[in-house]
Amino acid sequence: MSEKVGLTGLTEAESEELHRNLIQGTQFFGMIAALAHLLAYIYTPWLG
Amino acid sequence: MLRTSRRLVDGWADLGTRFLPFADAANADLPLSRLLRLSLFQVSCGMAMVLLMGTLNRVMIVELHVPAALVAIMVSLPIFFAPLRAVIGFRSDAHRSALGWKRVPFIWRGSMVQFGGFAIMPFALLVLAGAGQSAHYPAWIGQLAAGLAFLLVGAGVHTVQTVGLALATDLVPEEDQPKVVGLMYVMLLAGMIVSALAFGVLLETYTPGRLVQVIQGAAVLTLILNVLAVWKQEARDPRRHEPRPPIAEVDFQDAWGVFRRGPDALRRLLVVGLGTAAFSMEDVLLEPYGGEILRMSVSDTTLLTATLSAGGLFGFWLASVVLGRGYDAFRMAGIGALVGLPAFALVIAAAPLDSPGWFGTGVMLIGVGGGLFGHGTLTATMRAAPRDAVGLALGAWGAVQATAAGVAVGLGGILRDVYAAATEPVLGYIFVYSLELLLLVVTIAAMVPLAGWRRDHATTRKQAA
Amino acid sequence: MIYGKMWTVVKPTVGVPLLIGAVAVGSFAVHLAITTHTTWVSKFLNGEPINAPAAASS
Repeated sequence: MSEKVGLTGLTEAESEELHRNLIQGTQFFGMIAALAHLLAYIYTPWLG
Repeated sequence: MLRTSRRLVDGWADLGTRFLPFADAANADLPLSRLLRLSLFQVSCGMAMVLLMGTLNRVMIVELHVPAALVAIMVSLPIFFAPLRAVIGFRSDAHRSALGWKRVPFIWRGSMVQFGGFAIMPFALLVLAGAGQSAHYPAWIGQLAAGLAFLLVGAGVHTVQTVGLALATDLVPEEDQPKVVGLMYVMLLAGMIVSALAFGVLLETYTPGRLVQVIQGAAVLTLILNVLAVWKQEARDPRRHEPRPPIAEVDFQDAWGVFRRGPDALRRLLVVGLGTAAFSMEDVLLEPYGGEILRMSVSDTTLLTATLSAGGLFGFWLASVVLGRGYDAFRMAGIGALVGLPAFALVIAAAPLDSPGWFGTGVMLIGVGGGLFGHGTLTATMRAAPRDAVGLALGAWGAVQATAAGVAVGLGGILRDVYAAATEPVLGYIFVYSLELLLLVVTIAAMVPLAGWRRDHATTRKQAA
Repeated sequence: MIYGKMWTVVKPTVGVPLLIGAVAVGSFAVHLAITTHTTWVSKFLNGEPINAPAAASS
């Protein structure tokens, strides 16, 4: 167990976990956004 | 720095094992404002339920002309996710985190999933209906997308509600649990009522653009409400830096095995399922019964929903007050089931007597009985939950409750149709209401051993702790 | 992952809202720009029926 505490008071393990959550969230958000835009395009090519 | 001092405080709090990871909860009891804020997640859940079961159900059929059978399939999709609540609850109990959070990550992810579902939902529905130019594309795209949207929202609601209730149980000392349960139920109901009215007004003049705005507005509101609800609620586990005991890695099977061997665990779940089914089977049948059989006007039948809600609110309030004084929670649930007996009898009797007054009284009593029953079983679940398996216990309760309610509502409609087609319309309703009476009797019979046993549980649990 | 350790240097209370806020403001700005610089979005949101499949968008 590394107990190195950085400038922000977070250990490396904590930092990694926070980062993992952020990455996962971003990936999920991106996929949802892509799907929503795809469906909007299928509905009508940019609402034209 | 602040952290070291907090760890010191947490160390002191550990002495009183009851409030283990929550230094805040130990010194002063939770202020009401914080509890109210926490209960906002119930508002977002209520909003999602109304949108799925009520508003979108109607929009798909009336405005988008989607076949009713397809709508029924889509709307019932989230129910298939309900049994997984037990797994979600367990996962949040066993969640290993360097940050020392068990509940917040799940509520965050659940909110994201719910948000994502709502984000794609309007377009998915429009494509499902073959509107715009989507008719050029194969039909399965719309069906798949709409199904995914409903599944995502359902998964999000189930996750947020299960883990949110577990967080509430974590935060609140046992004597305050009845108040919190009451608050949670009231906020769920409030969220449902307010959003039903709001959606009604907003979609008064339907356009595809308005549909997109309303549903995506609901998506954003979900995120805002849920973030507000959990903001700074869960303290980080002070023991997070200690090396974990290696045997703590349990899987769901093991945890479930332990849980089901708890005192009367399966009987409790059976009672929850039977009682919930008994109190929800009439859900979609009350208004047509009033209109079709008792020839009440549309405004009068709409008033039925308000009557039912008022009864429910009274039940929650009464249960909060009485259980707050230490009354046995399962006995309270039993009283709720007992109140249901005259309630359904009144509703049945209203048809031969042709009396809307009896019907209204019966509906209100159903609300009261359902409120007492729901409150009683949830409080009992919270009280009986071992501190390290709160999520699993509440997940199991939620899984049984949500599944039973969903199946019962669907089954009620089907049974009414089938039986009414075989005989005559009145008998279709009477058949379902009688079935509910029967279910209540079975529920009460199954509860009898629980009420007497309760005291023994309490003492054994105290000794074990 | 080398970026995973960045939160030992950047305070999450600053960095996370900054990140999420940037995504939110960015996507909102793009949609707002499309709404103000074209006519078809506001037409759609004001409830005008979209073109029939035969008449493609211009």
